[in-house]
Amino acid sequence: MSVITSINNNKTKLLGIATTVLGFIQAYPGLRDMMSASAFGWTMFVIGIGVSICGFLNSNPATAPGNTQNGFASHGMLRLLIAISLTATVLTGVTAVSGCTQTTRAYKQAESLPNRAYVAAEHYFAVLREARTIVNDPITPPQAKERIQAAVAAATPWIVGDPESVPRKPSLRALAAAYEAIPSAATATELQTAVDNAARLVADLLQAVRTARSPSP
Amino acid sequence: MIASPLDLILISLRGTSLALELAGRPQAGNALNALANAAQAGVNIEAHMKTVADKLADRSATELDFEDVELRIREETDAILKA
Repeated sequence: MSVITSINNNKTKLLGIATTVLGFIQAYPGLRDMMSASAFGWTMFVIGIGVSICGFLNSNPATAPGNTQNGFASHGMLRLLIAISLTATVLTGVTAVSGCTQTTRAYKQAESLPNRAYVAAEHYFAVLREARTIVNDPITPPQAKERIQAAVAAATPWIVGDPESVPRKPSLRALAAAYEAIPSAATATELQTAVDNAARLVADLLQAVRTARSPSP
Repeated sequence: MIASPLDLILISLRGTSLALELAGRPQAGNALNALANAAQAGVNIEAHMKTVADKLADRSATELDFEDVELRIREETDAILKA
């Protein structure tokens, strides 16, 4: 039995599952918090189209007399569905990677300088954890792995400190403690500079991670 | 535990990737899988930053919070450099 025949024989079940999954995604209460307002709007639009397609396919008349499940799938229809799925996939991937809604919220939530330093450290850790997954993945090319290792070796001492380095690299924690002990212009400037530097290092590492995850040509 | 919509999308991405590879289109399958991995990384980072934002909504970061994140950073760094 071919794949097309199999799909045709289970038309109602498959479309029922697809419609239920799309309905679940649409109704999920946390979805709005996961993405920006425009990404949420586009997601709802794509889901609406998906439900319409399911409805259209389900009402498509059967071509074989006596077989109400027939006439649903064809090679052309499957190609169209794969093309739509890939487009939705690309949109989802871009949204998930570049949305950064919660990261922006965390930085906004940190009103004081020490809190901003803490958010920068946590952001660095979050990216670092993903970097570890990539370097441990056997399919990662050696060049991508080395690039990530170089970015990590350069960045970590600036976040957690390295007392033996010249010039001295104090940790974000030490600079935040110094600022809280004596909240002067000098300690504020030093901490602010370290936070800005940490944000740049996070961006560098994120770039290395994204490059390693990009589909190879 | 009910999966989030993004989890469902990621599962379907990986399923489509596998189907493409089985259908004799390994390049398309690999490209889709790489995209799913990138999306997964973004989702994981966002999930972590959500817990940070929620924490800071309740209280300021303490010395213990800094110590904790430093420890985790050192562990991850060691693991990456030794890989």
